[in-house]
Amino acid sequence: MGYVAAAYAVTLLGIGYYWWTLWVRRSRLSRQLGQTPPREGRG
Amino acid sequence: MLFATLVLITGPIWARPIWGVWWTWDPRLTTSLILWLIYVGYLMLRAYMTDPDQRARFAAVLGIAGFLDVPITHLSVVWWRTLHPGPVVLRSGGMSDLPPSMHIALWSCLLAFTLIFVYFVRKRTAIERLQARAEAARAGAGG
Repeated sequence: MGYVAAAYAVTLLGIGYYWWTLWVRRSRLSRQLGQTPPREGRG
Repeated sequence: MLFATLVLITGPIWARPIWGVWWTWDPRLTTSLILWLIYVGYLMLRAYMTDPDQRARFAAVLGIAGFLDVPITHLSVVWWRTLHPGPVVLRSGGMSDLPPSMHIALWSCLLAFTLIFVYFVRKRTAIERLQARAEAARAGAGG
């Protein structure tokens, strides 16, 4: 059971972390271009 | 790269209670690791080459060469002796050794991961467009 939980945790954390890196990168580029940062992920 | 990394981490988590080891130099594991290393090389090439045209050309060549490893990984259980089972989902003649209850788990997971993949590809494409615009704006500002 612990192994299954660990595999789920790694998968969710990995996907979440990757999504967060994309959000940060997109926000930075939007700021550079003088656009409103994307709404996704806020709140 | 994301999914290859997840496979290389969650695979050993599965292997430890089933095989008793975290890692073994099994053909499927080894070819999966090679695929991951090719992706690392690809991303490093994309990140550190400065000439956009050269970067695109070299990355395309490495991407095509790297993709050759995908069918090798898939067929590794047929070509070599391995700890992994042979094909169970679709065998020759259209027969399947997979229990019906596992079909639901397999296809729902495949659908979920495909949707996540499409979502990330769309997001990455939008970011690359923004990146190109930012580079063009910087080049324009620089004269």
